[in-house]
Amino acid sequence: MIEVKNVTKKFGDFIALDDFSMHVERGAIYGLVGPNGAGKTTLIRHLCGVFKQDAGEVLIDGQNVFENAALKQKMTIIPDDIFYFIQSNTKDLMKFYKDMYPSFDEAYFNKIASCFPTIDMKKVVRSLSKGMQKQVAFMLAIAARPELMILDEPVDGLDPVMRRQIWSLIMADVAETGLTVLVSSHNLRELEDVCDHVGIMNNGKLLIERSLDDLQTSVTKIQIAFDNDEMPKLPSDIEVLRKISNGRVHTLIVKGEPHVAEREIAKLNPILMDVLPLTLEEIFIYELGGENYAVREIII
Amino acid sequence: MRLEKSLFNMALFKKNISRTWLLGLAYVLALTIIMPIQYLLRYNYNVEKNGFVAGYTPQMDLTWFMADASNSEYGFGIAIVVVAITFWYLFNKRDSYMMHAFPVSRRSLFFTGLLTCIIVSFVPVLLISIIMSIIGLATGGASYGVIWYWAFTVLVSTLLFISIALFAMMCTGQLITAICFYVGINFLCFLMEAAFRMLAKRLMLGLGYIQMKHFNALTPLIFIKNACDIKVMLRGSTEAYDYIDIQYGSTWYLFAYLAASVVITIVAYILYKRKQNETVHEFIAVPLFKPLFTIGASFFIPLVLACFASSFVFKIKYEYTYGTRFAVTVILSLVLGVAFFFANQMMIEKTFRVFNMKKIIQCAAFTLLSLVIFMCFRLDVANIEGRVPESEDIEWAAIQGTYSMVFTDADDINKVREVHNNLLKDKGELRDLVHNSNRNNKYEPYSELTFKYKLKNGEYLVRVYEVIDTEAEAASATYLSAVQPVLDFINKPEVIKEHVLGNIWDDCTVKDVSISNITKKNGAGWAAYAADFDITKSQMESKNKRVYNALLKDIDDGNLFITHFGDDVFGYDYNITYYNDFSLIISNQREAYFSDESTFKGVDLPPIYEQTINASLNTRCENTIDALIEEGFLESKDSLIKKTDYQSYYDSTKEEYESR
Repeated sequence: MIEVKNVTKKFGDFIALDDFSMHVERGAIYGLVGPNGAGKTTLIRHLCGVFKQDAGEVLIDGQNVFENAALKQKMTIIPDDIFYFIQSNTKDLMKFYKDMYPSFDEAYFNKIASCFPTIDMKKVVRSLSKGMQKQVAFMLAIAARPELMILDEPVDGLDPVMRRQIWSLIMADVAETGLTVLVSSHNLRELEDVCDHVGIMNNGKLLIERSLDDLQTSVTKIQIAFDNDEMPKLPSDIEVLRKISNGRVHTLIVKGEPHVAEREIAKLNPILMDVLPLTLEEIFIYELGGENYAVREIII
Repeated sequence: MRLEKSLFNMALFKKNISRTWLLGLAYVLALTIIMPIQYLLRYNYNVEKNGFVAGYTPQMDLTWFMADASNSEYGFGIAIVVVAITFWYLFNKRDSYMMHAFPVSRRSLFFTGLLTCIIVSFVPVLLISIIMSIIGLATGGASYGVIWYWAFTVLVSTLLFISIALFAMMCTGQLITAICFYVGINFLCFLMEAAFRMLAKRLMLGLGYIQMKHFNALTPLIFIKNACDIKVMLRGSTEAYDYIDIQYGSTWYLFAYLAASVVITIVAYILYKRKQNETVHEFIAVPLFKPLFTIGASFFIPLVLACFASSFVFKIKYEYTYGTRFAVTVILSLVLGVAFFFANQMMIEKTFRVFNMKKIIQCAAFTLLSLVIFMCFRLDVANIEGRVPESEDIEWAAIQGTYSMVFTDADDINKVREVHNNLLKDKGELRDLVHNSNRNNKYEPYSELTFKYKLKNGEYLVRVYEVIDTEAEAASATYLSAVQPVLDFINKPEVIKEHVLGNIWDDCTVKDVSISNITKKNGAGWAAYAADFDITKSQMESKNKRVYNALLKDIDDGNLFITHFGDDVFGYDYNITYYNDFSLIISNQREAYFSDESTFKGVDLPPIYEQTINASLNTRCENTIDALIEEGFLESKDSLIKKTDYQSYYDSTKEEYESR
């Protein structure tokens, strides 16, 4: 669905996207994560056709996005900082979206509206709270019946009930219509619940891109203890991202197939060995730790 | 039509209209007050006060009203407002990003926005034109041609200003800057010319003349008003008008502006297509314009400031020579230019960190270029100072000292050229004339001598020289040889009669003679005029003619309308000139009066057949004064008061009044 090939974008001397490539399958829910300033929003603006890349290609369904109105009719965007026309209420905006997006489903919009009872349809949207504005943006975006939704911090500012409500609606659409979702968020715990694919980016580059299952199995936390305080030397084919020792107990963050690491470590005869799955947040932190991410020292 | 090829987007159009209809309504209301309501009030006043008499019809009145109406000003005002509201999203990151994320191409965004602007600004004008036509029909004064020519002028100028506003909007990422650019672009040519003229005035001899009437086509706000306006003239006598003469402005210019607006709109569209969204909030959004703006602003603004500073120094120190003035202007321009260069860089790049080697080299190159331009001025490489047009290129030539004299005859034109060339023989003498005449802090008054040529290609060439009295202490022999031929020429009686009295001086009736009788007894009233003579019209004209003939004799004797240099602007010698107002009206209904004054100023008036001649009589005008007394216009010579006496009397009565 989305194909980004070797995209470079510079703002003056600053390189926001550096030979960036990514790939999103149709029907996937792709979580885009990265530290502040990684280039996520810049990437999203390229995907929306707002920015034009200096080099490379940004393709959706094999077509360039920039200045492609027909293609943009198949996608909706909820940016972090939402724009609404002055003096427009939700109904006015609904009419605007209806005219703009041929596949806009008014009946569906009305149906969704019932899920958001706090929204006054006749009230000027700009006068609503930030959370309510997000809800309106979501209602409009999903009622356009897009094939692709691009969400930048979509549930930021929403209460837990509304978050759940929105995600359940998205998931239902994904299941029913094969909607593809690209979501950028710092709420990794939430992404972990909804995403099936994850891309981690930093400094304008994509560090990792794979399915969440693969990702979670590719990095493992192994707790081991030996008779002696000193841990025997690990085989060289085990890539340890992090090692934390507390007396005889050692915690290893190991990259690679967990079974291989488990088997190799077992050969060292530990008196205790536990293999634990990593959360997305942990993976994010450990992966970026290797990228000289500033938070590394704090975690240690 | 495929969506990406579409120029129009209905959803966007509806949204645009929902944002701008209030502006359109306000425009309609404003125009309604200015046009139909104002005209109806005027019509009502004329009906009530019997204004429609002596052949003056409602149709004439409506024609006159429409001809007087503003045109380009409306377009200039509405265009920037409607374009700013329609394309507001270009100046806010959030709005711009979202608008460009919607499924609508820039082509649609641009042309739908343009259509919105056109509709909002055109409909009110069309509506008002229809209302004015209906009013014309109802009041029996339908002047459809004038009404719809006015509408066409307003619409074309509006379209032009919309295109300029669009261009300005695409050049920057800041709304306030866009508005400044809009005003700046509209007056760019004039401002640049004014800056060069200011420089030329300080660095060159005879230059520095700026006349507001000479705005060229690149300053459309003023030019449309001047060149495309409707001019009307009531025909007939003051007792009864026969018809109204209507002269429409140049339609050719309007079509040229129409074509220009299309071109500018296309350029604006190309800029929009290439505009990068990340340039929102940037001072200049088009990379190519950054160096252009830097150079332009760093050259012209310091230049103007330096010229002002140079004049200021000159005002406080008369000993300031031409050479010093040149040095002060150039050094100040260069120093300020460097400061402006880096200030512009800071504005464009939004940082104070602009002092790198690359920028310093660029600045040095710019400064060198500026210096070359200044030296070109100083050395007059284009022979601007010494230029006197060839006879065959001249439509008319004029000299203005105390009076404006316009010469159209080939011999006269050659004579003007001859005295002008003679004046330029020793430029150095005139250059430091004011300096030399005021060398020891002894102020010698100076006046201006102007040579103006209207060329056959429509251009004007104007040179203005500062001159002092030929009898002044500082007037050298070289100076006298330069300027005396000019005085000899313009003070010839036949030249005075032809160009001060006018072309009908020897074939005219004198309709009226008037002189104020001033006595100190008159108190606050001061002046009194002779009572109406109880005689026939022909007797009156004979009486007037006798005064006129005496006036001609005074001119022949060199007593009146003599130009001196260094006098005040009216050429008065207060010690001999009378304060009394004296005027006469000369008329010839068969031959149009050629007004030297209007022609010199470039005022294009409809033909006139009579003219009021005002003269400041002086003690030498014995012939005229005697005739005035003899014919009963003036009680006696006691009724005359000299300007100096009047001033002292006025001062004393003022003191007396204040002491009371």
